[in-house]
Amino acid sequence: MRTLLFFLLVSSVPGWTQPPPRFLLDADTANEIDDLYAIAHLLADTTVDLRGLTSAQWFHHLSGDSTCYRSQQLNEDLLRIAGKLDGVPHPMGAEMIMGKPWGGYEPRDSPAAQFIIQEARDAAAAGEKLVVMSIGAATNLASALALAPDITEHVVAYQLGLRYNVEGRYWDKSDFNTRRDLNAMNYLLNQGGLELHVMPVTTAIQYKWPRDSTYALFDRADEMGRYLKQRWETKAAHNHERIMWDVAALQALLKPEQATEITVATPPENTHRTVHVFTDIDEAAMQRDYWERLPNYAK
Amino acid sequence: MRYLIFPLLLAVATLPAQKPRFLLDADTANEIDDLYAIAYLFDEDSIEWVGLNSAQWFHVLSGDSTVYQSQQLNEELLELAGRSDLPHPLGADMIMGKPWGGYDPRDSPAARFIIEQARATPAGEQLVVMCIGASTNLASALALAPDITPRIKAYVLGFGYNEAGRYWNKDEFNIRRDLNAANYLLNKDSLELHVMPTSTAIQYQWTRDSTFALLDQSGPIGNYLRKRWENHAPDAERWTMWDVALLQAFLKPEQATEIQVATPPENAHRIVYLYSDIDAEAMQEDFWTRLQAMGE
Repeated sequence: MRTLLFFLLVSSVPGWTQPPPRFLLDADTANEIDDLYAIAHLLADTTVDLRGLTSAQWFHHLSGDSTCYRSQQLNEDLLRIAGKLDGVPHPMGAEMIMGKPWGGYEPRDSPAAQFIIQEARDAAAAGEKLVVMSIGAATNLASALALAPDITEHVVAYQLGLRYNVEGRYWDKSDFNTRRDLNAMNYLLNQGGLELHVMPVTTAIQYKWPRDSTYALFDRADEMGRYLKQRWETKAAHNHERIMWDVAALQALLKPEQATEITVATPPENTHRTVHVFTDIDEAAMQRDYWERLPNYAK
Repeated sequence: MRYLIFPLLLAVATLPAQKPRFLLDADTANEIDDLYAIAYLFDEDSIEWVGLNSAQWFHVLSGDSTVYQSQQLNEELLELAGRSDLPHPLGADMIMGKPWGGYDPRDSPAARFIIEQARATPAGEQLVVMCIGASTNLASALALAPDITPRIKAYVLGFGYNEAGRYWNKDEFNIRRDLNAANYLLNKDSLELHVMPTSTAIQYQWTRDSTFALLDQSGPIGNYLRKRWENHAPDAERWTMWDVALLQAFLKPEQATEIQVATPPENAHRIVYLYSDIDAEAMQEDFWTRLQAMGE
């Protein structure tokens, strides 16, 4: 029955072919609360072949130092709770942006960038592609591509960031993730041959969770639920509602039927090519899925 | 009586136009060219120079206290020129708003000085505020005291602009140092805004050897400017004088071409002024004529 269900799930996802896609999540986990919720959802997922969880920097003038290291610590906490600390590789990313604060594309080498390169080459050898989703700044992925351009055609990139105005057909690069490494974002946009899917914050903003009902649902999810609840309590206790940006990006990838994606031109200042952008999500369906899956940690 | 009025009217008509009141806001410690722009101003008599603000330029490699670094150089240069009497208030050490957006003003002595000087500008005139770094201080002043908006004429060095494609690029040093402030100026409907994009200012490049030779003939200020180049960029054989380009374009409009363009689509829809060309050769001739006179 489980086998049948697995095949049904896989075949129901447009674009996903057997075997399950090789998937790698790159997260600036310590910056916000939603990264952790995305990771918790992913660690209980059975539709993708999770190859690794990398940590990303999110430096700014209020962040303090070692932002990537702080993300790494939380990633390890979550893997430990899920019992996957040994099973899921979790290399650390770069502490600094690609290039310089005034531009440039010199790659920022790191264990995470090298891991992306290795996984992409392994995927290529198997005749597959590696899906890399960055839910923070794109430093690690862009650096991997700059260090090893040969992997470009073997990577499918998903990025949470940017704003997009569907009616006016224009972009805005003033969102959090893009500002944390504008060079890396521009590198992805400019990289002809890279399949790039963008979940803009203008679409992800629809995915709002109320605090009180979220807390009640966390209470049913044992240690993972407690950990996620504690994160909200310590980082955003006064927020009655939070936007689950990263979870929206992840769930749109996992269940494309819960999102609308269109093909659009890159910003005029970037290489002229087309990329994919999510313009809508079915947030009610996403939320139902999320809360059906999370209590699995209590079993 | 009619005979008396006539000569009076004639006298008024032939009076020189009021000198524009001018305030420079500089992230002096970030680069070389800010100091060259400031030095050029010491002998400028076509404006009423009311003050010199310091600006922040924080980034991951800058270290802390960037505005204090700028302030220190401003004070050194003013002292060297015997102009420590010129007001030189300290700017904000942090961007407007938050690193993820927002327009909460960043109060500072420099922002307060802009407000005070704008309000002191006679009716019918405007205070020119020129930001050659991030526009944190000016945007914060406007956010703190929106009543000064019509009294300000803003000049900003920043952005890239593609004239053929009519599009902007905010991936530029000054804009990246305070994107919120840049967006605030673009969005500020009734603000007269003039932009020198780096895509135009890049024409203004000086070679090190000829610059050093000319600085050697320019007295103590020349020596100071040479030292700055030697310390900051010892290996650079040429340097783009971004800030000097904007300053000279403003001082001699005939040496630059200015067009009107629409703001970026993500900003408030309005028209701003933008320099699309400069006469780099004429500018450089003017610069050295003046600076060498300082050494005599």
